[in-house]
Amino acid sequence: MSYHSAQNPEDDLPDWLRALRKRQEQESTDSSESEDASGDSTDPAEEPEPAQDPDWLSEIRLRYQRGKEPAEAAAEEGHLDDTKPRRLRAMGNALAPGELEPPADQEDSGPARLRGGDKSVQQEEAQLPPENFFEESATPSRTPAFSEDEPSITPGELPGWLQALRPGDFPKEDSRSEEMLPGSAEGGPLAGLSDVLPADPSITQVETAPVFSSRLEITENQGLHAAAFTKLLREVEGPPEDEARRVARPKRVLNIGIAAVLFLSVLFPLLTRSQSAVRPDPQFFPETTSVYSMIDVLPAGAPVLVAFEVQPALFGEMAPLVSVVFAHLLERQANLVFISTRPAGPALAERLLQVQFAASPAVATGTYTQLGYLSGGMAALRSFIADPRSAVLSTASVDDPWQSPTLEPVRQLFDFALILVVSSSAEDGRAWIEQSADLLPGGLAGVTSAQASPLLRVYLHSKPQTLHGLVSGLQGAALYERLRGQETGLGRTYWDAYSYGLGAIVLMILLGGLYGRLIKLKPEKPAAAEVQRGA
Amino acid sequence: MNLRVATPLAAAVAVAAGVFILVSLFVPGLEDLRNRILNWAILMAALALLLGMLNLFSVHFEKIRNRQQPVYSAVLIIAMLATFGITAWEGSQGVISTWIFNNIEVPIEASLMAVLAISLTLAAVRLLQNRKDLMSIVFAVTLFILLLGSGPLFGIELPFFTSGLGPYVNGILSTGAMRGLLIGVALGTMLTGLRILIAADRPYGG
Amino acid sequence: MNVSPLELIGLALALLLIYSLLLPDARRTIRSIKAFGELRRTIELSVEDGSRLQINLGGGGLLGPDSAAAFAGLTLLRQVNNIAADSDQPPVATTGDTLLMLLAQDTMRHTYSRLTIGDQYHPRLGQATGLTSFSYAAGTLPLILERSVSASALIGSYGEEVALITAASQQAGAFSLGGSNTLNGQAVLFGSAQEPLIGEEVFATGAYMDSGAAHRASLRAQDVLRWLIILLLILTALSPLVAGFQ
Repeated sequence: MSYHSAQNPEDDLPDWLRALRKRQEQESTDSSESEDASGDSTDPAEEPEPAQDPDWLSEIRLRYQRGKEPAEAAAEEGHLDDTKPRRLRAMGNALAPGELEPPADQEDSGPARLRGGDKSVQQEEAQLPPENFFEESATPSRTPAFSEDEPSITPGELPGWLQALRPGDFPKEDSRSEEMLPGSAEGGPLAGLSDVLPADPSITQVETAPVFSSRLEITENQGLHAAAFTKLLREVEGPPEDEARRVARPKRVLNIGIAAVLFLSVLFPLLTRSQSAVRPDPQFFPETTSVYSMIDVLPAGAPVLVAFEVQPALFGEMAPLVSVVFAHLLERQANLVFISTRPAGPALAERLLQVQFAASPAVATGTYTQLGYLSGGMAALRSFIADPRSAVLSTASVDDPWQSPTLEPVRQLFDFALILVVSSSAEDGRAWIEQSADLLPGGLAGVTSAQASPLLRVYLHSKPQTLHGLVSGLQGAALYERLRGQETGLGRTYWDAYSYGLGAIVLMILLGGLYGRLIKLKPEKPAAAEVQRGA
Repeated sequence: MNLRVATPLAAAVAVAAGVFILVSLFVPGLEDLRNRILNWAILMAALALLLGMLNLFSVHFEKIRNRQQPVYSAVLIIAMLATFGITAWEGSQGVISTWIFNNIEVPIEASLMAVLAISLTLAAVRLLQNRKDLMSIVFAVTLFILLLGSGPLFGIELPFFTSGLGPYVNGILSTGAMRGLLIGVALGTMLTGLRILIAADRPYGG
Repeated sequence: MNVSPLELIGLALALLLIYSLLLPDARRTIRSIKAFGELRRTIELSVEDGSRLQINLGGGGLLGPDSAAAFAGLTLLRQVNNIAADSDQPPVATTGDTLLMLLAQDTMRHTYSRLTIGDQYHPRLGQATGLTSFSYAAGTLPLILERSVSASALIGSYGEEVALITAASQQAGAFSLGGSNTLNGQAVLFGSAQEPLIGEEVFATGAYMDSGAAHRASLRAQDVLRWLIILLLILTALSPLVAGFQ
């Protein structure tokens, strides 16, 4: 807001005030009679000259007159003076009423530009109203609306009920500390009001913000803690490694190592065609000899039911054993009839026959029978054993296999000359043995993998005997070849590789277990010393 | 169908079928009906096989969409559809389907068995590291005896193990233990079946 | 002394009914099996840290004796879903038989409905990962090796192929608990799983996982029958001796 100092201040005054001033001037010049109240050229308005002043006007005049004597006016003030902030009262002693100029000692605290350093500010200052703009002059051209020293209102009388509600007499004196008490406004528009901020230029002055040091002030104890924490952070290098990866890496190396050792130990005898390992002695395996004997007495053309319960995963182990047994069967001119309760059984049997016995007349002429896949698990097996012809079989053959010359005389399962259970798992072998126990007085013979042998061996000693012979695993293949007087064959070929592989596994388990125990026995690293040093 | 209606109905069907099958094993003259019901079950198992194929397709198709090992899942889906289509077209004894079986499935499963040998060896090496109780020690000792009694090591036969201790542990000690375990498993199997027969346990439909 | 199968079944049924209807003593304590305690703890931890639980039900079908172990796995699946179905990563079930897959999906669907979170269920939570034992194991490995699995429970009919699954669990740092009805599976699990279940402990899954009074009654009936069989075996073994004295 800028003030236009060139303009006559009288022009801004309202008419009534102008008239009042004229009257005052008239009164003041009564003695001199030198001035004309209406002679001010700048006052175009006519001022009214009432014959008798109204009460309020008289009061204003009275107040004006009192304003000339501030000391007297201050003494005449009532209880309102108590509410005036002390600071304002103090300022009022320093400043004349209406004076806004800061005390001389406060001038230097202002910013440089307000101290005259900035020309624009100086120009602004020039536009400010004159210092005596609010000053009450001896010949007042205007009458202030009110005087700050005068109480503007008379103290009101509180009604009785309100007085009764008062908790007590208000303290006469302001009990607040001097620091809390703001000064009272001695001059300016807030004159007479208490608890106000002093409206003096010192407030509007912008001081330079104090510069605080960025240096952190810490105690010695805090410093020690910070040092320890910094050391701890330095020791942590990167994010913690994934536990699974940390475990997996050495395990992968170990897996590869074990695989390499096994591979080499098995490959070496195969490449060198080693036959140094002694084959098992038949006298220690009477159950294998029983199977050999059962097959050796089969008449030519005898129907033999082969339950081919082999998984594809274990076909590699079963192939040498089944090959030598099938070779014996085909040598005896047995009519092989295949059935399986496993979906892949018939396909694996077919694969074995075509790969190993393609040159055999029986296979070449197709004089073997594939009954197919018997679905339904043990319940279906029970039904098949009880009545083979009524079983629902999934076969690839279009013709009814039961109408073939081989199966024509077969009405019940015990019409087969021999029932051979070729099983890679103990459960399949058990299922056949247990479901046929009361329906097959002649029993079964088993050709199984090594893992099934311990479980099925017990049936050799059952009463009544349900399993009459058992040959199992690569050991059984090597043994059976020895019984047949064969020096060559898959059993003989693989026996040395099996022996070397077995030795490698035993050594690895032994050495690996000892190494693992030795690691556990190692003392732990002393980590406490480092910790103490850091603390 | 509302689950509240379906559950008692499923329980009734399961209980009735189970009781009938059990009774038919002891009462003569019911074999034909039993076989017919079993054939229905076999038919449902075959249909479930198709549903399993759909489930497999769905799982791996979702993996392809979410870019979770999409190559492996794509190979699986293509192989599954190709094998299914070829076998459906020319039969299980067809040339291509037989070639797929002999040259893909059997070698892969045999390879898994070979990997199993390595895994089991590693497990045996770590057995006593991971567990140090008495049973683990007994297990490890028995394992050693049976391995040594399975055949010659590096061509060298150990008669004490192959002809003496091995057959004794295998034939006497382990047989007794196996029978005990099998009796326990058989009891558990029987009680589980009875719980389902009396509808005390309903794995079908909660 | 010959006991016919019908007599044995009748006795077992009577014991089951007595213990479940007439003497349902829920306060009776059962011996602690560390495996189940660890499993409970792992389930709670997996719910907290948002990792996945995998319940593997094996390849046992529903048309043979292998189904009993599969049913034990389904019981575990139901209880685990009761706890963890609405976690960040809900449990997943794998099977090696498609009929079992349908049952597993049905079990989970009913559990989700009972928990009123049926919209969160989808059929891919139950998967048939393979139809032969080794293909099932091979199909289960990727789920474990993705490392979002914190626990792998193998309750069902397993053979030696279970060693592949337990090896993968160990590689992924997942907790493995295993039980099988086959002896091969039990032997392999004893050597490779963190917490193996031996013998009929797999059939105690329901009782230890708070599946209801029927499971506790079944466990008690099992105990009674086992002691009866032991008594029978001892008497049978001693009978020639007694006859010899006579």
